[in-house]
Amino acid sequence: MKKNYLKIIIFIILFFLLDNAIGSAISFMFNRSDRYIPRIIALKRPSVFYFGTSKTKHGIIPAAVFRETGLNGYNAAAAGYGIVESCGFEKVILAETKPGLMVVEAMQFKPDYNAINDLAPYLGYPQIRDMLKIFPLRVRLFYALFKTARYNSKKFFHFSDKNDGYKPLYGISPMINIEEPYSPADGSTEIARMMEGFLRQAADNGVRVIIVRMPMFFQDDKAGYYEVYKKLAALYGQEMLDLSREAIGRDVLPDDCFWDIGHLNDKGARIFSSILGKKIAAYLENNY
Amino acid sequence: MLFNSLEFAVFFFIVYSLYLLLKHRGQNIMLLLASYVFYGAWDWRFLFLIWISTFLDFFCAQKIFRTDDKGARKKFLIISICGNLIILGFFKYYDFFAESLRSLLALFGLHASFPLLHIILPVGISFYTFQTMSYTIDIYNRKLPATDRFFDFALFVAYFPQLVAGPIERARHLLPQILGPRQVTYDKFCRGCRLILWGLFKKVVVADRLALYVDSIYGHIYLHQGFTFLLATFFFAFQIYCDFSAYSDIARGLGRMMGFDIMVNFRAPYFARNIREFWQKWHISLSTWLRDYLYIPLGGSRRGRLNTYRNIFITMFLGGLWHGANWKFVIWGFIHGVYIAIDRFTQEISPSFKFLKKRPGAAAGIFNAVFTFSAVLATWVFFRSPDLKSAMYIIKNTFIFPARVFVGSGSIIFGAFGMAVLILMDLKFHAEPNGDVLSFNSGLFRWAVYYFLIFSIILSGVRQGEQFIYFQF
Repeated sequence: MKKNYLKIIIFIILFFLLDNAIGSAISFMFNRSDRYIPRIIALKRPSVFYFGTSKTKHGIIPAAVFRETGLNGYNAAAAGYGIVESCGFEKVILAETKPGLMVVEAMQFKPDYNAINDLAPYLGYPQIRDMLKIFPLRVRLFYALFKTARYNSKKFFHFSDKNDGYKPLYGISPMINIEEPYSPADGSTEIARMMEGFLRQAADNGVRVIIVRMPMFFQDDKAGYYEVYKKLAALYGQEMLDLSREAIGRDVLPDDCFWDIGHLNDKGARIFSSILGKKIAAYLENNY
Repeated sequence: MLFNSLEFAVFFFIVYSLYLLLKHRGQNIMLLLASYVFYGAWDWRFLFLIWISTFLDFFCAQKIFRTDDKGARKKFLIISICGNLIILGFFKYYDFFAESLRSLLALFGLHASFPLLHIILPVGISFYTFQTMSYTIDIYNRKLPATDRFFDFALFVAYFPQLVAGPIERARHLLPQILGPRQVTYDKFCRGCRLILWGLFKKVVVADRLALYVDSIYGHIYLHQGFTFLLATFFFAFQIYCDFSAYSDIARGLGRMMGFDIMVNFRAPYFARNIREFWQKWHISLSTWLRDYLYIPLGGSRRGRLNTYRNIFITMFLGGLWHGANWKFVIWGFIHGVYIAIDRFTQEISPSFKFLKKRPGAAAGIFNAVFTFSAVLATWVFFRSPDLKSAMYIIKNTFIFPARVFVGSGSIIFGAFGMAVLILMDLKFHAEPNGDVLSFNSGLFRWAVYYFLIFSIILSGVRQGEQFIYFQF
């Protein structure tokens, strides 16, 4: 009986040792990759940071914007609903540097508990630890207990989405509003406040912000949250750019520029980034 | 309370600790209360349905067992079966039948409207009603004595590891384990943990990961075409297998830790070499239930060829309907019925053909397994599609050239990795059907596999609290 208990104890101890070893190995590699924000700041000193969801992740190519503006940029967008990650990344960035400009996608006000995946590698920052209270206890416990959890598949085993060329059968698809209309009653106010905190913090640090409405295959015309962004932008004296497909012209971003209903493909991203670059250049010219 | 949640881990830790402290009678009472807490956590209102089912079958079984009067025995059997089927029919099928009847009458120009009740489906209702019905039928067939111990019987109906998604246990197998004392040993504890670990791997690394891709395709069917459907259906075949067999494995593992032996529900079904073998390996507890309590009482294969085929179709039709109140499940069951009928027919005529009499070699075995898997794959389209119309759309639009495949997200690579591990494990299980899961001779290798699975779960598991698919049935 004693031998069996000993086996169980050894198994558990070995597990935590392995967890620590694997976690340390992965963090060592991750912290030396081009996905670790402090390293990017130290090496490349970006002057523009792009925040948002997968629409931004796939839709904005910093190099294409650079050609129009001469501004070195880093795309810090995350897959998912994006706001929580964006707020966290902003804190990390502002702790390390003062960028010239932040470009933020107008995102839905939805909580995303997967955001902890993206924030976990930055748990060393007290500002990030303060944010953890929005996550349920079970999620916090999981990340506190296992070091490997901090570098799970989403962050470490980074596979680029293959977004070159496929378009989802335009022409036969019915109009679909895939975005929910914004409603403060659905529990999203905390996330809306978080977005407001993002803008306030940028303003406090003297960083200019441009909020961008990203193009989609079908524009989410019922998405009332854009109106909230307009109000927030006005409140903090920041810029709001409507770069929806309708606003920039469907002929400029034809159907074959889309990977699926929500995302641009490589061709679309190049065209869109160039347009965005021109808009940023014009904005900087008018404001400085 | 999902098996793959922290809430369940805490719940089970408390239950298991108490279980180890208590004696047999106390264990049973505590397990019964824990089972009601477990079920009540979904929706406490539906506990009344479990209680009705429990009272009804306990009472009817007592009456059947205590009399030799054939008429009285039959009367109480009918009361039990009807009572259970009324509960099941009302809560699961009322809206479906009302809507179907309205459509049928409309075909003949008659316009009738039946009120639709939109009742929430009580989780696991199909599982525990079938389980408790089998008890009464077994008593009627004198295969089992009725128990006098009401609370033990109530535990048989509500035992939490397999309450909401099976396996559908038989009274002959589970009830004696409840009535008698059980032994908790280190060996059983380890074997239980192994089953739970393997189940969790299948659920969060394979099933939930593949679900991300499958849902993105089946959730936007009209935005896709061609081989994308084939890939999504292929992934769904593994998703549903892993999802369902994971639940069964975890249920068996939890039971094993407490000294129970819950029946095996899956035996590497995608290695089946014909459709009948597939049904001997897939959802075994349901397929054997349908065989014993429906197919054989209908006459089985004893009353001529025509009646045999009729019985196959009735069984598979009801088997399909068991899965859900939707014609797509009926069609799914019907197609499987057609497959089984064809398989049976070819077996019947095989003595007339020399080449069919030959025992197939290894290459033929692989071909047969691939062929059977492909046939099963086609039926999953009906099972997964939101409705029949969507299923027909997929079938019409799958083989469109040039074939463009929507890859979606890199996350499918993890699903493919999980599938590869699953296939390796199933190959082992296929080779040693009576072997335990994750049992390897080398202790070092065994521990390496444990750690590999644990870290795969942590590193590449999906932790969005996805429900098990079979809860809806």
